[in-house]
Parts: sequence; structure tokens; C-alpha cells
Amino acid sequence: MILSADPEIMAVASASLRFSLSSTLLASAIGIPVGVTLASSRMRFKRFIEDILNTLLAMPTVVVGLLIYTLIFSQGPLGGLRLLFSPAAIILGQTVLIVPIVAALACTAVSMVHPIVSETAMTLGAGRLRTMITVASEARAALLAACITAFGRVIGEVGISLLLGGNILGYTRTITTAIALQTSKGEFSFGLALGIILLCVAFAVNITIRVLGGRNA
Amino acid sequence: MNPAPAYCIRSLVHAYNGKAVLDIPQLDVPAGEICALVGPNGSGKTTLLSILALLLSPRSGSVLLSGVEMVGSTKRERLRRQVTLIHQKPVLFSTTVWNNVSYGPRALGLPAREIKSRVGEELEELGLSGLADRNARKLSGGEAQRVVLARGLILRTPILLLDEPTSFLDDAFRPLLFEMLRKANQTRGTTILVATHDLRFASPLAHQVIRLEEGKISPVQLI
Repeated sequence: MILSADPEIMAVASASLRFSLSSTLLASAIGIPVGVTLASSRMRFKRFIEDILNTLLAMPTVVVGLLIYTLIFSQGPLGGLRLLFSPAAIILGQTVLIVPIVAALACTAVSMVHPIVSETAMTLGAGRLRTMITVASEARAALLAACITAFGRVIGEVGISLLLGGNILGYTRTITTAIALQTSKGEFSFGLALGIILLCVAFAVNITIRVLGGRNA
Repeated sequence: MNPAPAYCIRSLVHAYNGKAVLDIPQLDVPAGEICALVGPNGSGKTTLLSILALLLSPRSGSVLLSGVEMVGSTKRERLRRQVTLIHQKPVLFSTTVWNNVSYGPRALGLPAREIKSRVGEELEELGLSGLADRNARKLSGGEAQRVVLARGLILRTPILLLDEPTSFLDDAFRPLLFEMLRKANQTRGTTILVATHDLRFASPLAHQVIRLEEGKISPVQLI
């Protein structure tokens, strides 16, 4: 089925990749600045915010799905946007899930950069923003690894995609929701083919992180 | 009328973990002079330079930078642009030599033509022209120290602070650094404060020597 490029398998694999890449990009755009700012700040509640972020890492996907569901279902505060059972709803939910991952890992990555780097940037005339960008740039491999870790988390999640996407074939069906459906119907070979694709993607993600980690060291 | 001293320090105290590491009742660094700051390890030289470069706030006291109070100032970023500190340890950004040397002028928003011209001059003067496109993290210790010097000297700020500039420098480049500092002082009137163990390097260069011991200034010895 994989080798013959079954159209249904290709459709769900492509949807999974599209949703996961979109949410990873969005979460990176939000999470990296949050993490870098947090690492660079000396605010009073910094440790407390870090603890909250670390707690959110353990948030079950189904809980995130449920929270977003209450916001976007037809009677919810954002019901008028008609997002429920659409790709946008999945991407929104996945983004909420992985923003804390990217932010927490970005904060750790930037905190590991030696303070002398920011001192050097400041004494060379850099303002606060340029200093933060310079420090983040020194941690760029670790920041990229944070994004890849977040991608690995969403490509394999099922709760958000099922609750917010509705598992609609050719529209919101992803690899994981298709596996759940096919397995419940007794279509084990289809589910297995999708599982293999998912594992291949996860393998590629791990290889990428290892190569990046080696380069950073 | 004499110009305001580059630094006018009064009742400066700094402490780590409750232990005083600097206690300077009074010290003036005259504008346009070269001062050598000497003293054993742990005497407070690097801490003093960090305070003078506005990277560290002292526990108490007053420091005027060209007549402007810098302790507790809200304009630290602007004041900092009058000072360049070259650290003892060569810390380079993980990019090319050219990008490292041009970092300061780019941060200050100098015109591209001016940046190119200054980078070319500094690289040539320090024998680094052939290394412009090399990754700065793959240089030898001596080459890295020369890049650090080029990156600091290119800013041409009125005040230059150097922390043990010869510690990682190849012997062959010491006379060159000596000449570059003297030239910056004589042609641009740069005030230079060099923290060093190397009195052979500092004595012929400095107008005055300041001795620090256990955070306290010994009597200033005029050369």
C-alpha cells in the first residue's frame, strides 16, 4: 500500500505534514521570542513563569482539544468563526499544545549561552534587542532542535486532531486519526501502513536532532 | 580649562556574597591618557573594568563618565557607546571573522561604505585580511585574540578598556598592539585603561600606573 502510493494514505500523510508543519511554524514564531525574552529578563516572577511553562509540557492533548473545543464550538465565544472541524482548528489546537514546549526549550537553550556573549554584544554597542538576537543566534542549533521536538510532538498527537478536526476524509483526517479509525474497523494493514509512515517521520526527526546536536557541540 | 576626566570615581564599593572586592575612595582617569591597571589575580581589576564599561552596577559610590553620572543612570545604553571593553578571554560570535569585526559598526548603524572601509583597515592592520571569510570559532587562540582586538578597536570610542590584552596574543603581535594603542591615543585622543600583569608591555605605554591590591588602590606611581 505504501509502495503503490495509495491515494488515501498519501492524502492523510500529506494532511498530517501540512497541519504539523503549520502549527510548528506558528508555535516557533510565538514560543522562541517568549523563551528568549524570558531567559534574558530579570523579572521577579521569572522562575514561577518557567515552572508554569514546564507544567504545561505535561498537558494531555485531549485536554488542550477540549479547551479549544469549548472556545470554538457553535455556542462558544469564538463560535462565530466557524472553526470547528476544520484544518484551522487542528492547527490552532496543536499550536497551543506546543508553544510551551518551544518556549521552555528556547528559554533553556538561551540560558545556556555564556553571559560573556551578551556582555560582549553590549560593549560593542548593541541595544537590548540586538543583544537578545545575538544570544539567540549563538543558540540557534538548540532552538532548531526545540522546533523539531515540537514537530515530533504534534505529528504523533491524536486527541486534538480527533476532537477539533472531526476526522473528515480528505479534509481533516490525519495519520493518527486514520490509524484510530481503521483499527476500530478491523483494517489492521491500513493502520499498520500509516503507523510505518508515522515512524519514518519520527525517525527522520530524531536523525535531524542528533545531527544538529552534534553540530552544536 | 582642563577637560573633564574620562572617569571620576568617588567612594566606589562593590561586594560579592557580602565580601568587599572593590573599595576605591577616589580615583580619576584623565581624558586622553593611557593608564595601566596592575595587580595580582583576584585584586578586582576585571570587576573595576566591568563597572567602568557599565556591565556591572557597583553596590555604592559614584562614577562620572566624561562628567556624567553613570551609576543608576537610565541612559546606560547611550553612555556605554562611549566605551569599548575588550575581554581577556577571546569570545567570538559563531559566524565569520568579517561579521565579528563589523558587528559593532553595524550595531551603531554606521553606513555600509564606512563599515567596509573600517573592517578592511582593521583586518589588514592586524594581519587578518586572509581570514575574513573563515569561521571565527575555528581560529587559533592568537588569531582569535587579534579578531577580538580588531572588533574592539574598529569602534574608535573615546574610551578603550582592555583586560589582559596580551594573555592570548602571539609574541610577534605584541609590538603591533603596542603601536596601535599608542596611535589611537595620539591621533584620536583615546583614553585607554589596560589591566595587565605584563608590566614590560604596559610600562613604556602608560602615562600612569594604577595598582590594585585586594580591591584597594595603592598610591599612583607616575612614570
